[in-house]
This record gives sequence, structure tokens and C-alpha cells, in this order.
Amino acid sequence: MERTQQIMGRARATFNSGRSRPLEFRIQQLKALERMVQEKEKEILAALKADLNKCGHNAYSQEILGVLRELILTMEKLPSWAAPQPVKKDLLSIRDEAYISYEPLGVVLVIGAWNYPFVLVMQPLIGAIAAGNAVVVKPSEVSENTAQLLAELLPQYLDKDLYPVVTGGVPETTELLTQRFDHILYTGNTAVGRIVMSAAAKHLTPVTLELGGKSPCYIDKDCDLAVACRRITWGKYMNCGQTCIAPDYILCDPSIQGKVVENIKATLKEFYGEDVKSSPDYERIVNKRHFRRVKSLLEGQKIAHGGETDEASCFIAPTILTDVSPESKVMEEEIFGPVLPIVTVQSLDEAIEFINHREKPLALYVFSNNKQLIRRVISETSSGGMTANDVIMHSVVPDLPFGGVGHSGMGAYHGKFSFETFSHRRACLIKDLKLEVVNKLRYPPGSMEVMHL
Amino acid sequence: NPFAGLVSHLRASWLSGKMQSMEYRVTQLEALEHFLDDKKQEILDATASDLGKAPFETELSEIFLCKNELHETLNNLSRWMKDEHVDRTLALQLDSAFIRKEPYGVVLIIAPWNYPIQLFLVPLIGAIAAGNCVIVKPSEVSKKTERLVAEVLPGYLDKDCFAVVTGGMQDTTRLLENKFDYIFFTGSPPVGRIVMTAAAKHLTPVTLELGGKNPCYVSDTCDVTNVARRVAWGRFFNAGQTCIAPDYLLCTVEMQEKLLPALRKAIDDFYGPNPQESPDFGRIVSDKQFRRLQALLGSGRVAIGGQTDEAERYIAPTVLADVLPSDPAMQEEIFGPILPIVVIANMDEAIDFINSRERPLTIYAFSSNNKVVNQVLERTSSGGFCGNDTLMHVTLTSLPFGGIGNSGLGMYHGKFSFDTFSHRRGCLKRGMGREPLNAPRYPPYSQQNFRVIRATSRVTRKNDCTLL
Repeated sequence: MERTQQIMGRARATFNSGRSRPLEFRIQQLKALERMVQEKEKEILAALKADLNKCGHNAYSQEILGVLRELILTMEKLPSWAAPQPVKKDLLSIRDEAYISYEPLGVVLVIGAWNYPFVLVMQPLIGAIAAGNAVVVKPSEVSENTAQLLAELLPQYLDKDLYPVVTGGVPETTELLTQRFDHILYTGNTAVGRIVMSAAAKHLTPVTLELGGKSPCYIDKDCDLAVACRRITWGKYMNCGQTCIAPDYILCDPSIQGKVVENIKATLKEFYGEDVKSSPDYERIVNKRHFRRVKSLLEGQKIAHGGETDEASCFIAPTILTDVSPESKVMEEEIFGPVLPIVTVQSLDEAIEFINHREKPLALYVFSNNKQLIRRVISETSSGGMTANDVIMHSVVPDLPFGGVGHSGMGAYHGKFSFETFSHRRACLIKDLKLEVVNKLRYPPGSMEVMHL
Repeated sequence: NPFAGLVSHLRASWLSGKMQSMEYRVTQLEALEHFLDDKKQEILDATASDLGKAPFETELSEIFLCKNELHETLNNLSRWMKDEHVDRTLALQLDSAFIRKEPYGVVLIIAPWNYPIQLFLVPLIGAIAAGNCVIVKPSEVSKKTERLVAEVLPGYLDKDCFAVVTGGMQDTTRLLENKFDYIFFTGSPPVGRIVMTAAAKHLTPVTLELGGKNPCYVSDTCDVTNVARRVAWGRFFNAGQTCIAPDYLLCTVEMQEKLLPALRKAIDDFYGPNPQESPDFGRIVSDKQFRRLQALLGSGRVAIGGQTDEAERYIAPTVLADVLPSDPAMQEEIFGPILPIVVIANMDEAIDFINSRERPLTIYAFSSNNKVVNQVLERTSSGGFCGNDTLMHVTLTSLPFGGIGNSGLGMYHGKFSFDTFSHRRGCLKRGMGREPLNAPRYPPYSQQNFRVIRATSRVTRKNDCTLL
């Protein structure tokens, strides 16, 4: 499509002109983003409500707060992140300048997802701008109100040539992926992740893929079940379960399964009241397609709690399934909905083996009072990130990298890691043209004695 | 799938956790050093046979550099492996937040023929240090070295965790059908694309060390003798078959006139009046590469060298003057002992010339005026940069080595190797107590709770004053 070519051409020409490189320019753009978030808070919250039925509190704390924090952190640290980093020299280079220079990559592509449609576009954008790049932003068309809003707002606050927004669905994204970018950051599912990487391979474009998977949650017999279940309930059902790092399923000993169910039920009542559907704090499934997908996972399962659905409003009640078989459909794909299966295991060994026989997840959770056990789980499994005795929280520590491994993704971002992801670390060695005598040792005709110096 | 069994065997070993301990990794790394020491003569012989490499060059580029990497790694491994603790926000003050370095699993290293030991061994050091199992696929083009590595290396390493696979294009293609947890490839951009496409099917992260045409700008203000020596050394080392060799020179016509006699003298100093008789000058690796290079000799005019001997796959150290951007020598990475000179009017033209082409692995700039060197550095982009010398920036283990754009993605050497082959896992350990502190985040929501969340988890500007 001609329009994509034009957008790319303009972004690249502007990048090549050097406009996005000075630190002052980058900080000015970030300040403009900060103003945008503060001035247009109402509009942003309205879009999130329209897309996901997110209430103001949730929308602000899940999406806006994180963005503001990232902006402040980035503006604060950018001068030190962007400064050339001198490195350790050896005898031969003692009089040389040796350092790593952080440079922008060029024109990067950020593809957002629909579940946290604002922050998942904004956070990568912040890092890409900070690193001095031009950025093409492609918000998810599924969360169409937020996509529209971004398409209207970003050009009002940011440099129009450097940071264009491209909207549209699969055809537009496919077209975009034929273009040559200098980095692509994609948030979404594993299947499309493969497509993005294959497209990137044609241009040798490096990628950061923030994908998903089934994030396991192991509950040890030795733990405060009430606290554990409250924390798990919070992380599982926020955004109606549509969170890439939600605890996807529980692993626990059969003897505590009943208590786990009781505790979660009690917490759900505390959070959403007797009639969940009328709680202003409970979201909805994003669209009918996903509603039907999640609903179908309930077939043939033992529903210990919940299970009510209403297609018209894409409502699925917070649901718990017990004695789930590892071979059932609900244990095959990432649930991405308010359905919590419990799979019983006889021992920690069995739990670890269960986890390790499956694809590496984006997050992993373990609840226990036993520090030794927690250490074992960490060292005998692998995952993008993890939290012990809570859920979700590792993703809000600003200095921890956020990313997957294996099928849950590659690369990482957040804070300084965003800056590094969107930068090229160029090795620089500046020598003196004089002092040739030192070099004589390396020139032929070489002698073996010289080698042993 | 002929390699499925091998890959799953290695994966099972990795899952068993035997590679976790530092002691285990150290024994494997030390075994690599024994390999280099015990088999030094065999390595010298194999590379001499494959590439006509002078013993000095092999000792320097294949053994000495590898040992530096080994020592750097062994000296620092325990520090690199440690969990890195990070700052926390006020809300998480009593918790433990850290980055854990974890191996990926089963790593595939595909090596090229030009530095057939170094280019598998240095990545292998990083992969082992990070705790991975590794399959090494040496190049079939450097035949003697391939046989040496396949027959001898496995004896030094744990056979459950490390293997060498040999073969040509077909075997590599079958190998790439398997799922690896990381692929490290050194080679050409077209094959790099093939590797990355295969990796995409399994969502395998990759590091691609590719190539391109490394420009070498020589300004009018410089010590011509020193420039000529440093450039000649970098260009003709290993008979020009070096991914970071200066590929072509950019200079004014006046500088070209001054450089030619200086280059002639440098070549004579290094290799004598008949380089074919010098024990220090290498040979082209194969007939195919020889014929490819021969065809480039028609570019510009042969100012120095130009002689060839097909039986020996010998191409003399050659300098081509007045080469045009449209000439064959300027269409592909040369990867041979031929140095084209492209005449430009001034530094700005040189920079524009460089920027109108694919970003190379390295850019070189020579000038007595530091400002000139810095201008070239700042106004261009490349994997790495070296001012007033060639090749040396990759000998410092503290500098990352990697490309950008067509010249590659990712990097390694020193700690960067360890980081390349490690997954950085963000970890947060909380306690079960102090649950009331979590209360503000739970529904049902209220404005007051929200204010508490904002206050305890915000990152404030240093010159802000916050009253809680």
C-alpha cells in the first residue's frame, strides 16, 4: 500500500536527517507524552472503558500509572543511559580511548496488544524514543477505541514525521511487516510471534517478542492459604483474566484443593460482592470470538465455582475448575480469561516435572513459607520472570527486565532494558597514529618468540 | 530427522541440571584450554593445510585470543553467575528483587571456515559459561580443521552435553529443523536469513555475526607510512579472509598517490618481494572462492600485486586504484587479499558514500586530527569502529563484538558472550505477612486506596517534593 511506503519513507528520511538524536529533542518528546497523558486522562480512561469495560481505578492503576512512572524514570536517567561507557583496557590499548557508544537503531516498529492497549504501546514507545529512534506505532485493532485515540493524540503531541501511527487489521499489519525496520517489538500470541519473526528474518531485523503461555502457580501445603488465595484471586481475575502474566492454572496437593477453592470463593465475594455482574470493578471479555473461545474451555469440566456466562455482554463469571486433567483443552492453550483450573500433584517433584514438560511460560508463581522450596522451584524451572508469594508484581519493579523465554518470547524491556533493546551498542576504539613501534610486534615476518611475550 | 535423537539427548542432560554448578562449567572450560594446549600442533597443521595460515597468525588469532577469552571467563564466572539485586519501590522495600542468569538449554553454534577454531570456540566458551548444552557445527569448507574438531574435541568435553556435527548444506538444513533454545551463527547475510527463518519456526533467539564491506577512510592529514602498515596488516592477514578486514579505502586522489608507494613498501616489508614465497602469507580456502576473487581483479587498475596461481590458490597482496562504485570489487564483500581504493573529494563525500550503503560490521577512519576521526564515527553507523588502526577493537574482551542491519544482530566476546547465552529472569520474592499493605490494590476500589497506591509506588523526579 502506498500509504505505508510514504510513512516509512518519511520516518526514515527524518531519522537520517538526525532530528531524533539530540538528547534535548528526545526529552522534549517524552515531556510531550507526559503532558498528553495528564491532559487527556479522561479520554484515555473512556477508551479503555469502551474497549474492555475497565473501571477508572483499574485503568489508571494498570495503564496510566505505569506509563507516567516510566516517563519520569526515563527522563531522569536518559543522560546517564545514553552516555558513552568507557571499558577496561589492556596493556596494548592503555593510551587509547575504548568505549561503548549507545546509538539508535533507526526506524523501529511497535505492535501493541488489545488487553492493556494503552500501556503496551506507550511503554515500548517511550524506550524507542529515548534511544533516539523513529517509531512506527501499530496499536491492536481489537481494542479499537484506544487505537483510534492513539491515532488522534500522538500526532498532536509528538513529531508527526518520526512517530506515525498506523491503524488497521491483519492486512495492514502484514503490509507493514514487509517493510524493512531496524527492530520490531511485538506483544501478542505465540502463533503471530512466529509470523513476525519470519517476516523480520527477511530483512535481518532483530525482534523483541513478548508472547504468552500458561503461567503455572504452585501452592505448597505449608503456606498461609488465605493470603495466598487473596493474592492469586487478584492477579487471576484482574482485567477478566486477560493478562499475559496472570496465574493461568494452579498446581497443588489434592488435600488442599478444597481449601483453595473455599478461600478463592471467599475472596471473590469480598472483591466483587454477591452479584459479580453488577460490580463496577469487574471487566468483560474483549469480544465475542474470545468469549466463545474461553467458554468452550469449560466443556466437560468440574465447575467448583462460577461458570455463568452472558454472550450479549461478553460476561464470564470468575470460575474455578477442580481435578482438571492435564490432557483437557483448558490445559492446552493459554486461557486468557477468568477461568482457573486446579491440577492436583502428589509432590513438589511432580509439580516441577509437570512445569518442565511444557513450554517455558512468561511467568511462574510459587506460594510457600519454606524458603528452601522456593529456591528449588526457581533453580529447577525456567520462565520469563517469576514472583514468589504473590503474582504479577515482578512486572512492576522498574529495574527488572520484563520478557519471555522459549515460546513465551525473546528479549526484554521496561526501564533501562527498553533503552538497551532499542539501542545499538557500538564498540569504539580510537588509537593514536603515532607510537607505531608498539605495532611492530604484530607485523610479519612474525617470529614465534614474539608470541610468547 | 537424523539429529532428533542427539538433540533430545542433550536436552535431557540439560534438564537433569548437571550443568548448573560453577564447578561443572569450570571443568568443561578448563578442558577447552587443555584442547588448545595439547593439540596446538594439530591446529597449526590443520589451519595451514586449509588456509595456508602462517603459524604466527594461527597462534595469534586462533589460540591466543581464545585463551584470553577463556581466562577472562574463568576469572569472572562466579561474579557473572551471581543474582543481580535491584532497587525496589517503597511498596516492595521488604522484598527481594533480583535478576537471575539462566541457561537457555540446547545451543547450536554454526561456525565459518575463515577462523575455524576461534569462531566456534569463543561462542562455545560463552555458551558453556552460561550453563548450556551445545552442538557445534564447524564449516565443511575448512576440511582438515573440521575433521580435527569432530574427532578430537568430544574427547575433552562431557559427551552427554556437547557434540560436534559435521556435514554440508543439506546436513545443516536438517539440523536447523530441530528445536534449539539458541542459535549462534557466523557467516554470510544470505545464509543468516535462512538461519533466522528456520529459527523463527521454533521461536529460537539468534545471534548472527555476518559481514559486509568495511569502509576505511584515510584523511589527507595523516602519517602515511603508519597508515599503510596498519591497513596492509589488517587487509592481508589471513589472505584477506577476515570479516572485519578493511574492505575498501576511501581517500582523495592526492592521498591515493601517497598511499600507493607506502602500501608497496609495507607489503614488501611484510612479505618480501615475492609474497608467494613468504611463509607468512596465506592462501584462499577453496577453488570456488579463488575464482570469485580472480573475477574482481578487473576493477579499476592493478596498482600493486595482481598475480595469481590457481594451483596454490594464491592471490598476491593486491591494491586496485581508481576503482568505481559500479565495479565488481564494490558489489560484494571482498574477503580476499584485494584492496580497492575509491577516490572521493573530501570527508563529507566519504561519509555520504558510507551512509548510502548497508551498515557494515566495522568502519575504520585514519587521521592525525582527532576531530576527523570523531566526525566519521558520529555521522555513520556500524557494528564497531576503530580509529587509526585495523582489527584491534575485537581483541579487547571488554568491547562487544557484533553487527547491525545487514552485518548482523546480537554481540559477544567477554561478558557479552555470557550474557548472550543467558536468559535474564526477573525474580521477586515476597513474604506472606504484611498483607494489610496490599489492601489498597484489591477491589472494591475507592479513591482513597488509590491515593495510597500512587504514593507508595511512584517514581518521583529528584527535584520533586512529595508529602505523603
